[in-house]
Amino acid sequence: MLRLRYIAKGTERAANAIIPSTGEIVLLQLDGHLTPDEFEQALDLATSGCMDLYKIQRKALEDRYGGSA
Amino acid sequence: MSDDSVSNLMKGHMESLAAEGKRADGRGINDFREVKIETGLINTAEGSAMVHLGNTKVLCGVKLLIGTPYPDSPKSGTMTTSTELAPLADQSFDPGPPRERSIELARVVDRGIRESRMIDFGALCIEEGEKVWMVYIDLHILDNGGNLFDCCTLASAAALSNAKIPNVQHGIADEDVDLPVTCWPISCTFAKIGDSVILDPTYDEECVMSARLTVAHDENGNLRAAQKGMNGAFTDTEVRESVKTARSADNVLREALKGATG
Repeated sequence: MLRLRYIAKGTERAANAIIPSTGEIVLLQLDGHLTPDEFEQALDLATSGCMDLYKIQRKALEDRYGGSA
Repeated sequence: MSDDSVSNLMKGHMESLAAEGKRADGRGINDFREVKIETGLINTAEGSAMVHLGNTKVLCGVKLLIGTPYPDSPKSGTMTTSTELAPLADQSFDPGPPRERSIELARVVDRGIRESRMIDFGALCIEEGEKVWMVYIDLHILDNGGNLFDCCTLASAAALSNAKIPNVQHGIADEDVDLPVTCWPISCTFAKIGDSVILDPTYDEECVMSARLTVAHDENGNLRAAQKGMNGAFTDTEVRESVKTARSADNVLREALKGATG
């Protein structure tokens, strides 16, 4: 299961996708100008955003189809 | 550039070496191969450079032509990057129109240069909305010994820094001036082999890698572009470590670039 998250700050853009069960990053694309700290923050934000979306989507599916697959 | 025909024996060998922090050519996992840069080789181009990175050899030519700007950016010059993967460089390169590998390579190199705003596009405006300089970066792969991404980015940077705006030839001004370069993006490409991550993969290492990560930093250590390629995955820690490693590992390329361009 993949989650995609797109974040932006000024002219900086980044997209990433992770596998929620393992936390592995399967997509990462970034343009712009980020200091090392900003990059760490961007990655944190993207990862937590992916996990939030994953939970929402999982809940939506469970509510609709029941069960806890 | 994963090749299905790689033997399991080779794959196993590479993976076990990488797991021990070793490599087939004796390098450390975060070392670049020997780099050599020559500039100004082609007289008919506005800028040119040849880069050797180990066995990989790339020739880059920069041409500047006058054209009309895009309607949404009437004051900016334009840039086009193309890569030529000729069959002479690698038995797996096919003749004919560009394919996925060639397009991805050109796009990653283009992104590193464009998004880092290495070229001052505003300074390439001749007449707003009418005439701007169009920068063409042509990359010719002469020998594919692995890691075309970093070799091509380096060749582009060297050729751009060597380029002159041909004002005299086009009757724009009385003298040719250097192409305005604002920063120096250098890319570092990492390959995931088994559970290990190595810098600057060779051809053989690329054949067995599952994923690729290219990150470009400027001379101040700020991240300018990143792109992950192929089907495999990197862990969060691996991405963070790679970005950190790239900031110091790119010094050797930066010094070579500085040496070649003065």
